[in-house]
Amino acid sequence: MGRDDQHNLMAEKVAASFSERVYKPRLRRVIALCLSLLLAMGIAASLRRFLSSPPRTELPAFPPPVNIPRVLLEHLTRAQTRASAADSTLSSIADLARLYHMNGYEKEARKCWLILHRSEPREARWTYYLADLAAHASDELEQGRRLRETVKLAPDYAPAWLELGQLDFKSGKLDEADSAYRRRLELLPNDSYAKLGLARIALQRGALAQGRRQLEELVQVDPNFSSARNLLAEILTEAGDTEGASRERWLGTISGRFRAADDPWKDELRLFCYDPDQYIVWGETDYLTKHGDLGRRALERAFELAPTNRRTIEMLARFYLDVGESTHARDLLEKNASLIDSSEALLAELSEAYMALDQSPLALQTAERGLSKIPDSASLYNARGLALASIERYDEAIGSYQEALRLAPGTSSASANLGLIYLLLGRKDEARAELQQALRVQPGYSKAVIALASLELEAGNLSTAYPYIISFYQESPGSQAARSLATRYYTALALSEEKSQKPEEAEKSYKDGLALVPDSPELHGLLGLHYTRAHRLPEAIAALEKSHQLQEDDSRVTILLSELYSATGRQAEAARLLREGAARAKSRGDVQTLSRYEALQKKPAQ
Amino acid sequence: MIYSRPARAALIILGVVTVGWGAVKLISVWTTASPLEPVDPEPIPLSASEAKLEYLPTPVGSPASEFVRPWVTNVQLIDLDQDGLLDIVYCEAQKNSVRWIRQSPRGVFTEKIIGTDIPGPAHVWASDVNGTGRLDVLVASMGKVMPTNDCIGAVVVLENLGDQRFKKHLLIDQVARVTDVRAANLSDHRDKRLDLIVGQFGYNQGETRWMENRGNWHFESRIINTQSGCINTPVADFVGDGRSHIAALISQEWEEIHLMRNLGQNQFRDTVIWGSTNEDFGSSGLSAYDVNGDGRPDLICTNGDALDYSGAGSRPWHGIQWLENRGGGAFTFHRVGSLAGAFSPCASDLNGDGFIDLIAVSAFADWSKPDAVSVMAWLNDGHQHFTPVVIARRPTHLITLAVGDLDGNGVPVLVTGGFHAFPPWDEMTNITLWRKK
Repeated sequence: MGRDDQHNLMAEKVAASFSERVYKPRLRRVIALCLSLLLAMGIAASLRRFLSSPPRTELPAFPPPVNIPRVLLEHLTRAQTRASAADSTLSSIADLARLYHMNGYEKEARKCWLILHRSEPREARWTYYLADLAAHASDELEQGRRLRETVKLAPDYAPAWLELGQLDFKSGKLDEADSAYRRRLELLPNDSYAKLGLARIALQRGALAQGRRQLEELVQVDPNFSSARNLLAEILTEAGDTEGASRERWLGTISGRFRAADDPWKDELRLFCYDPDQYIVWGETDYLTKHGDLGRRALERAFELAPTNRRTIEMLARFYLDVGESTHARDLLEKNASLIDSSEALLAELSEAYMALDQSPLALQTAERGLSKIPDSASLYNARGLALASIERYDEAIGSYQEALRLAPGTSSASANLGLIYLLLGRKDEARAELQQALRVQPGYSKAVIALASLELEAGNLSTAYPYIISFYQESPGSQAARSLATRYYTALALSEEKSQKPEEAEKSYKDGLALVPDSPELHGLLGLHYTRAHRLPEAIAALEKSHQLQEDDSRVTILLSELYSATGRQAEAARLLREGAARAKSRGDVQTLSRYEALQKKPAQ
Repeated sequence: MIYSRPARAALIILGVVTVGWGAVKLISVWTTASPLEPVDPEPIPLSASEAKLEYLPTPVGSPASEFVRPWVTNVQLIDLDQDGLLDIVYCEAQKNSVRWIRQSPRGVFTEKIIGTDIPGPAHVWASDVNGTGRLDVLVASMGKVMPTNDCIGAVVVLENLGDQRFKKHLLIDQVARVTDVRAANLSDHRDKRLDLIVGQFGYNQGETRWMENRGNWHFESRIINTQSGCINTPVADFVGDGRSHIAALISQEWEEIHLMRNLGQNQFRDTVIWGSTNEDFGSSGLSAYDVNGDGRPDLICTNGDALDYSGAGSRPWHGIQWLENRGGGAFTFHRVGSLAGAFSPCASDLNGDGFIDLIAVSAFADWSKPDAVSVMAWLNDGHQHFTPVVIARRPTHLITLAVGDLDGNGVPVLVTGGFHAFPPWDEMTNITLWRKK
């Protein structure tokens, strides 16, 4: 290699090494620049979100401040000011939107939700609220579009699937409705609303057997879902099962009012409502469906918003009376005396409150004051009758009830009250007729059911008493009155079978009764006695021990059990029972029972 | 210019942040203004035109003072005595009576009570139930108009004996509250007997039934639907097969319109043809009329019921809509317009242009507002585009409306009934005629 070649080679090597040196730093710089750019974008995006304010010029114009309740106007003004401010945030616009949405300003609400939706297109709530407004406007296309968008953004939000299912069902899109309901069921297994929807789809398609099966499964899991009961009644009617249909209709009746499915996003809006009427509806629904605090908060809120509104007072007073807070009811009504004097409902409630507080003269005075202003009020005549009956002015009470029935023939309470007076006066046939009339008008009316069932039991008409007792028990299995009636019925039935020398039937009756009222000391005690007579001592002891455990003061059970203990070599337990029985008798001053115990204690052990 | 190292670094960082901000802005513009996502247009508000239709109200029949606070629940225009002159038949729930304001001679109206002691009468209709040649009056008795679930409903028929005499027949009672009774030949009678179609609102429970006329005032009931909230049950050949079918407005938690298709041989198939998912929709009335003149009976529906609320319970979505009959039992929903507390949808050509207009009244507007409307019309341009026209703002609390050629001159007269169950108590009316000026 010549010198020139060497120089060239060396130059090439230097050039190559130089370019390597240049190339590597350039690559590093490019990489560093890209990373910096990405970092900068991230910082910028965060800053932008933090600093950016929504386009304030797009906010809806403030509605004319005419006929807007003061409280609402204040809140709207404050919210509008915050949303219009130079440093306003999306959160302030959302509050404004909620206020508009919940207080009837739907056009304004829509504008606000659209701003939010454009600013935060991934937030499913905004498009869900737009769907709600579209539903109000009966714009099914828009509603469907928004709901589909919602479930795309929030596929796990079950209420949106239910809304979509219902919209599709009512639009005749049964396949789409089916998919939506099933998706909801994936999220909420056993959801009654989705199951109802699927059953209705089956029925719409003419698949009666499938629809029936679905409804039957539904009411087994959710027996208080009245809508399902009513639909099932229809299917059974069509199938010719009139008894089954009646039963379902009855069970639908006692299930009470329909309640919409929970929807947390819509519930968030409720806090922004300043409409007392709306709170009354919510409160009533909660009360009738036994939900949450039974509507207390909603009804009290309605009263706060409209303290001089007769209906808010009426609903809140009614609530207090129904939950046993008669003092609150009375105080509320007395404070608004000037309003109630022209209101039949409020006067009747005040009279009822006085009756609950054992202030019969005031109750009568209130009813008569009301009748002087509203002379054709059936409810005030009914209230007057109750007050008169409580102070034993029975003839006048009868007259008052009869007048109530003349004015409003379909009043179950007046019929029942009249029946009870007749019962008190020993006029049993008339009592029976009025009580039955009350039940015809309002099946399951507890006052009438209890009275009729007792009447029939006392007359020994067990088969007549049974339907009243069993339906009352089914309606209110937890109620003391229902359990007491059931106990009385099965006791009477078993005893009549014992008397007729039908021991097996008697034992079955005791056990049927205990299946309904497992904590009845009477039924356990009588079953123990039954076993004793049949020389089934171990069973007798078990039954009597149970009875004694539930009611220690029943000396008949204590004594019989002690005798059985003695007979089976359990002297110490027998003696203990007698000792404890005597001590209890002594402490309550029951001399007769005490002397019986003492006599038994003196008897030599067998 | 020579910068120190820290200064150079700061400049670089600033430059990079600026570029980054610009990039983010570009990206956000691209994602929020996607051409596939149309910007939602503002709905064009309909402005109610004033003074295109002027009507003069005239009270007729018993004065409002007779009832203290009238509770007219339903009014119908019927030629009850078939003398060629339309009369007014209405029911009211203060004295629980059914009344006939007979027109004889033309322009002279005389009221007569034809039914008494009918608790909570909610709807009247006239049909010749037994083929006598005389129109009987069918009365839906709720027992009590205000909300209750008590089974105190009844179906009453006032049999027309002729000579303006009527005999009351109680066909069923102690059922879920009855809100509508109509008559039609559902079971192929050949002797002019008509069966009855009964809508029962109830409250938590309700039903829709038909009652087969077995003759001699004996009827056999068949339940078609057990949903609560049935308000109206217009009957027509909705399917185009020559049979009478039933449309039912089912409110409460359902808010649906059903078609109960008569399949013959006493069989019915119940299907939902439309519904709202708004549980507070407040369905209030349903009637049948051929709105678009295609020979098929369409359905007109109002939503404005606010009895669950006190006083002014109007909601922003109250109004009127029609369901276009597309044939074969298919219907298409069209929203027409808004009216707070809307009730009693009717149809007639009010302006004589040959197109069917829609009219409704309001029972539950916020009467403290001076612009609250009590009677509204929607004028049809012939293509079923409707322009709202305010007919009246006073009197208020109107829950029922009928429209017909009362004067026999081809110009429809409106007849309204006042339902004064809530304040304010001024300007109360009983029955009012509205004649075009």
